[in-house]
Amino acid sequence: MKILSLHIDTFGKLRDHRIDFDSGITEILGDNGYGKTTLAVFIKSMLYGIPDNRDKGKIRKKYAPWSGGDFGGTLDFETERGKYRVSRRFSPKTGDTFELISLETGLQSEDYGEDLGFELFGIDAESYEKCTYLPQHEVDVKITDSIGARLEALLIGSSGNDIVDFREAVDRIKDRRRELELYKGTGGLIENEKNALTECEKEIELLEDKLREAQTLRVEISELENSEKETEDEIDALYKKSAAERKNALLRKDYEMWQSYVADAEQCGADIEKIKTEFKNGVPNSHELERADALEREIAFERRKRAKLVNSEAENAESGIDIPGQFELTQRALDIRSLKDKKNELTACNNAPRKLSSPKMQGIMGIFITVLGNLTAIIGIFTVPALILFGAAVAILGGVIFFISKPEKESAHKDVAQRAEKEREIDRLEHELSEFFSKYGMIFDGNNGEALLSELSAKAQSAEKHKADEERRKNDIRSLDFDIEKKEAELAALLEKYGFFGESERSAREVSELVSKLKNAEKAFGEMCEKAERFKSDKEISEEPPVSELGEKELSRQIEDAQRNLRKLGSDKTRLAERAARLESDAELLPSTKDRREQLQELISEHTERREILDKTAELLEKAKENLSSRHIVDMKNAFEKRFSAIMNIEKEITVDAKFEVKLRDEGGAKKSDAYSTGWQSVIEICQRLALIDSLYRGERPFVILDDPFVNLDKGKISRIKGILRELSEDTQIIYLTCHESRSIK
Amino acid sequence: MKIIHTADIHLDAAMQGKGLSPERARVRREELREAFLRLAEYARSVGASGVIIAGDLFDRGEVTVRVRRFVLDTIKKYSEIRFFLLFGNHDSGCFSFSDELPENLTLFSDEWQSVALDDVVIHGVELTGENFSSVYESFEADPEKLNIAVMHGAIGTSYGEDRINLKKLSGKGIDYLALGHYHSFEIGKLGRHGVYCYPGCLEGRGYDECGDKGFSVINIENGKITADFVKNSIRTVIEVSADMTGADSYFSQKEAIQKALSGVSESSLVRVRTEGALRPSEERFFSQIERELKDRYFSFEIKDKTGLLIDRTEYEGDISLKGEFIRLVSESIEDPDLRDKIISCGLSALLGGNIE
Repeated sequence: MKILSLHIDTFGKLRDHRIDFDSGITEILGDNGYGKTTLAVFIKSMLYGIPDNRDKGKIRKKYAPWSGGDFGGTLDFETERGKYRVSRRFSPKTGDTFELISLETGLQSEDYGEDLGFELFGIDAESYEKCTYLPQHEVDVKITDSIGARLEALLIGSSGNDIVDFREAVDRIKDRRRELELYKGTGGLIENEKNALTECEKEIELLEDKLREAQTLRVEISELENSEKETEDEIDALYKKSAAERKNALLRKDYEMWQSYVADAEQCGADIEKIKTEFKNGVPNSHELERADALEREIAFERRKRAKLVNSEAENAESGIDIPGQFELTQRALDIRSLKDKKNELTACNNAPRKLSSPKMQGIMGIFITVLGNLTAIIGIFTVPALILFGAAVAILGGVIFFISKPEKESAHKDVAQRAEKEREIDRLEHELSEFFSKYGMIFDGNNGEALLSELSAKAQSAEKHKADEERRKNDIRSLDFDIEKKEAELAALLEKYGFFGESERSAREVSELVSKLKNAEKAFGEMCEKAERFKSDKEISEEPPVSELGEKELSRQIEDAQRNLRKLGSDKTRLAERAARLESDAELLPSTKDRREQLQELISEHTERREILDKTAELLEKAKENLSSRHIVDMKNAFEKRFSAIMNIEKEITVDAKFEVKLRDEGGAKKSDAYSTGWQSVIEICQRLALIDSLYRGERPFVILDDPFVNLDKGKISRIKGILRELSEDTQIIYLTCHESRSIK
Repeated sequence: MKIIHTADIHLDAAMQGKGLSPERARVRREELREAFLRLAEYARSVGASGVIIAGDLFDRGEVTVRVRRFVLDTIKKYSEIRFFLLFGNHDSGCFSFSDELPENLTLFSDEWQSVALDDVVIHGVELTGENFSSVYESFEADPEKLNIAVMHGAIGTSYGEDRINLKKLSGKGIDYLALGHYHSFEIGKLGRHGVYCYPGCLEGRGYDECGDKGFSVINIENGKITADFVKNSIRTVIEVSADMTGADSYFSQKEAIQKALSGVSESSLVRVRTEGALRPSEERFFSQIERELKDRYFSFEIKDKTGLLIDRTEYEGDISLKGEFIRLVSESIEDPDLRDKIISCGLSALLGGNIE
């Protein structure tokens, strides 16, 4: 496709402006502010119109006349189909108009429609712009970019300012995606929300648990209340029971007391019966008892007395004194006297014998003294035993005197015979006396006869006395025995009368005691029965009170236990109620927490959906880029390589890799051409455009508008560029705009 | 004689909608409780003999003590009215063992229970996994009186724990089938002579419960039963649509939204659903508009359902990435909504616009 000419009625600063174009290079030299860009936009608007959307509205605003009226123009062009004129008028009031006229026929043509540009080139306005329009600034801006980046930018980016770099776009999507959720590791809004949701769920679970626990506690509290009621009832019952028990205890006590009285009476009765069993033949009367008792006492007394008497014999018996009899003593006394007399006689014979008192008086005295002595002895038997001895001695003396009183015997002649006789007598007497005394452990020396005899007499008296005593004692004993026997017989008879003999033998005292006991028992029995009856009547005892199962103490213990239990129930109930109230209070947060959960779930859902959209968008953008690259870039690369090599006419091998790195091969190897000179940059830009055109345009081959792209090139390079442009113009219409003659390529 | 029929009150439920702040959600829950109170007061004012609550009085099994006590105290307060409560699929077993149940409250269980109320017998049964098939046979109407049956579930031709076979209830002598489960008022025929009725919920909680809400008043007169809907809600949930096609500026979009909101009470819970389509290059100002209008209503949110206006032929000649991207998305994504969103996102990124 070639532009033949154009006419601008009004478009931006250009008015009523016509330009005719060559098929090769058309140079338009205009000052700064001429409207080169306006011209380029006009051409584009003739081909593609001006879109209505907001972004493109800027173009309308920018290029519409200040008056606000219509603007537009015509463009004549040639394609394989023919030559045409397109007229477009842009009216804010009436809308845009489009007209296509065939220059050959002058008639309206329908060979192309309003979407003329697309129909001609097969690409949209933006793509057209990328390919055909090389603005001034672009060279400067992208001078350091790789060819690949530039080509990519051309293809994937936009020549305008409304589309950002692809990578930047994808990065922004990914950044936003990362805000929602990191690609790796943990983090992001969704994760935070999920964590918050997890916490929220836990909180809800916890609150629901608290609520359930509170309900369980309420059930327990209800059960505790029931238990409390039961325990209170139990305590009431126990108190009643306790009161009844106390009453019963009193009754029981009274009853037991009465029972004890009855028991005592019964025991007494039993004792009575037991005692009565002793009385097989009846009970002695009091008189008999007294008699028996007296008998017994007497018997006992007499026995004691007898025992005493018996003991005294024993004492005497133990002394073992061998005592001469009174007669012998008397005899011996006589012997001693006789001896003495004899001795005296002998002496007297030897000396004058003493005269005694008259023989008659002596005889009477002797008899008197003897009788007196006997009486004294007899009295001594009954009184002082010593008197017996004394009495005996006196009797002996009396006897002696009596005998002495007899007329004196023969005379002196008899004296010698008498003296011999006396001496013999004396010897005999001494001998007998000595034997006599030696029998009693005494030594008779011939003169101590009286003393010995006195001693013996005393002993004999004593012995006599003892003997008398003994005799008396024996008599007493006999008497006592007799008496005792008699009394015992009487007592035995008495006792036997009532059966107290043999195995049932008892003493009178015992019987008496037994009777007394019986009587006492009977009396006591009577008293006890009366006491029991009285007690029963006073206490109104009618029947045995029930036996306490538990007892007051046990009941008290149970009451105490129950009260303790009640207190515990109360405190448990309070504790549980407090806990339940706390839990319920906490659980009031449940609805608002559930609200939060709802909102979090909604947010997570929303953000998750958003994340998926972002992921998909990024994925598809990448894929689109890949598709595009794979579809066009290779072709563009080849085309660029061809164009560039041809333009540069470099013998050295130029290769352009997939990244559009230009490499020059020389002896030193392949060298990158990243850091190109400005001249190279310009050429590269043009080659890029041409490569794009070569690879992209599916329809008519468009022109290229170079809007003073070589501003920064020196003359030498511009000179070279001129040549390149001429070469390029052989197959591509080039519209070259410049505002300075130095950059003119003509 | 009048009997009030309600259901699906969902006391203490979580409130839905991102446009509802936590404080407003709390207020909303209080309003739900007030709605229940208003119902009881209405029942008293018209001399209703009974109130039937056909399930889902609460939202979940774990109900706070405050709400439970509130319900029981309310029932106790209106002691002259007999309350019949059926638990639904959400609130089965809500009352705990320790709750002291008022005397004027009848709880239905998993076996048919019949209570006479003057000339009417009210039967109720809670559907469970064990009885959902046998309840139909075990139902016995009182031939001498009018019969109201209370159940909770979705009516249909099958039966299950939350499904009611309507056909099996036909001809059973039920004059009025008091149902719960659906949150909008609905009344229909049951067999030849009976009717079934969903009273709907007392207050809308989400944008699937738009419009007026209330309860059903069952009128029993001259041996016949009729039912009327009584609006009880103090706040309406509303969803309006705003066509964004051609609204390529903030002002045009806001204007379209405000136009859609005309006549909407400020006490409402409002959602604006944007529809139509915008070009990829036309920026959407919905977030900003939502923020601006949020405080005007009790709850406000904008749901962006605006499509993407793309003339694919326009991009057929676009050799750029944009064109390739759009073509690729169009070919590979079937869901039109997702497709539009991806294209919108991609173009927004390429155009340097905001990426949500």
